[in-house]
Amino acid sequence: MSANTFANLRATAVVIITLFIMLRAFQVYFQTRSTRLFILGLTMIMIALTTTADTIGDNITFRLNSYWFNYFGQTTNYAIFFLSLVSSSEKYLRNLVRWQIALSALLLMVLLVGHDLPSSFPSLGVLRAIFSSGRAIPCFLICFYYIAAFVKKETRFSLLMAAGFMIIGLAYYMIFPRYINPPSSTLQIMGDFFRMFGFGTLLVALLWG
Amino acid sequence: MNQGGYGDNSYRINIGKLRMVVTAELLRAIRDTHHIDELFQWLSPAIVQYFSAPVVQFWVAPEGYQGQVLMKLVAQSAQDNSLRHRLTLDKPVADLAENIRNRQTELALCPVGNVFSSYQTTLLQRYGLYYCFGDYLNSKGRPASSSPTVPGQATLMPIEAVALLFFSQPPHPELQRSISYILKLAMQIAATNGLLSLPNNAQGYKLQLQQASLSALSELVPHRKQDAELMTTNNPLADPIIADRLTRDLYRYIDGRKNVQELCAVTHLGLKEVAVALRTLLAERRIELFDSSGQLKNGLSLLNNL
Repeated sequence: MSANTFANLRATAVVIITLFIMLRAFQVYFQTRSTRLFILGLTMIMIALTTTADTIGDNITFRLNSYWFNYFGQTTNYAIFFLSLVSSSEKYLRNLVRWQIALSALLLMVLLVGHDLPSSFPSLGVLRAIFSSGRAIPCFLICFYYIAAFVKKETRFSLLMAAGFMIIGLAYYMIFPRYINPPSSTLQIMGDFFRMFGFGTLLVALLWG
Repeated sequence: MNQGGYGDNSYRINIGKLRMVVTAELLRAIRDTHHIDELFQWLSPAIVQYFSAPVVQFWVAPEGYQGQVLMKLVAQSAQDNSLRHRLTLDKPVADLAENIRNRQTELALCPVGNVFSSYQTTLLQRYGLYYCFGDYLNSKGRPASSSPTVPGQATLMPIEAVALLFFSQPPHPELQRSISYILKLAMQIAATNGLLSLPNNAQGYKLQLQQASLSALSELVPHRKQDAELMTTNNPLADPIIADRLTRDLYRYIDGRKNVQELCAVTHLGLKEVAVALRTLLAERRIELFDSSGQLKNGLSLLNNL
C-alpha cells in the first residue's frame, strides 16, 4: 500500500471517528447544556474539516494550500479543548466558546483564500515541519492533564483519554523529518497509523471509558 | 488505665462535661422543634460539632414500612461538606441502616471493611472514613390505625431510626457511650415533648405535611450543578445522560432563574410530576435547590415528604 493511500485511509478513519464523537457530544449537549461538551463537539468538527480539506488538497491537481488551515485549525482547537479542561467556571467556558467560534471562522477564511497564498517561499519546509509538529504540543498538554486527573482519581476514562492524546501527539511529532529530509514513506505510514490508533483510543474512551 | 491512647480520667471528665453541654443544648433546641425529623436535623450537626464525628447520618423507616423500601435519610452532617453529597446516595450505606433496623440492635464500632464490600470500603477509606458504628433508636407508639380516636388525645407514631456514624480513627469508648446516651435521651425527650404524636390522624397529618412541602417547593429555584469532573474523570458520553424523557425536558428549562412554579408553567407539567423529576435530578446530583434569597436548601428531605 502506498503512503498516499494509507494517508487517505487514515483521513477517512479520523473523519468518521471525529464526526461520530461530534454527533454524540452535541446530542448530549442538547440534553445537558454543558459548555464543555459544546467545545468538544466544535473541536471534533474542526478536526474533521481540517482533515478533509488536507486530504482534498493532497489529492487534487490545483493548488489549495490547505495545510495552513490544517495545522492552525487543529492546533487552535486542541489548545481550546485543553483550556476547557482547566476551569469549570461557566463564564470562562462561554468566553472560550466565543473565542473558538471566532478563531474557527477566521481559519475557514484561511482555507478560502488558500488558493491565493504563495505556495513556495524560503524555509517553507522548516515552517511546515514546525507547524505540523506544533500540533503535538496541545495534545501532550491534554495528555498530561488527563494523567494528573488519573492520579487524582483512577478512572478508565481519564486513562484512555491520556493514552489517546499521547499517541496522537506522538504521531504529529514523529512526522517532523518528512518536511525537511527527503520524504520517507515508512515514517509517514507510521505517523498515519499512530494517528488512527490514537483517535481509535479516543473513541473507545468516549464510548466505554 | 489508658484506653486507646486518649489519656485517662481527664479525658473522661472532659467528655462528661461535653455531654452535659450537649444535653443542655438539646433541651433548649427541643422548644423550637415540632417534628422528630427536625430533631434529627439538629442532632446530626451537633454530634459532628461536639463529638468530632466526621460523618453522622439519621435514617428513618418510613411509616407503613414493609421491608421492601429503602430507609429514608432524614438528616446528615459531615465535617467535610463534599462528603455529604458523596454518601447520601450510596445504597450500601442505606442497606446497612436497613440491616441495623431489621436486627433492632446497635452496630458495635468496627472497621468499615467488616460491614461493606471491598469496593465500598476503598471508597469510604478514600474519604478518610475507616470506622463506623450504628445505633438503633426506637420509640414504641400506637399505630394510628389500631388506636381508637379519642377527641383531644394525640396518636403516637412508632418511630424506628438508625444513627450511623463514621470515624477516621476509633473513638474513645467513653465518647461512643456519650453519643449513644445523647441519642437515647433525644428519643425520650421527643416522646415527652409530643414530637412523636400526630395532631389528628396519621393520614391528615401526612396530607398537611405534603401540602406544606408542595407549597415550599413551588417557591424554590433549581440551579444546575457545575460538574467539574465532567470530561476529566467523568465520561458524559458513555451512558444516556437523563434516562427519563420528562425529567430531561424539565432539566432543559432549568436556568437558575425560574422557580418550580414557573417551571411547571413552561413545561406544562403538574407540581407533583415536577417534584418527581426534581427528586431524580437531585438524587443524580445534577441540580441544587435554592430559596428566593439564594440560600441552599435540602431538597431531598423536602421532596421525601411528598
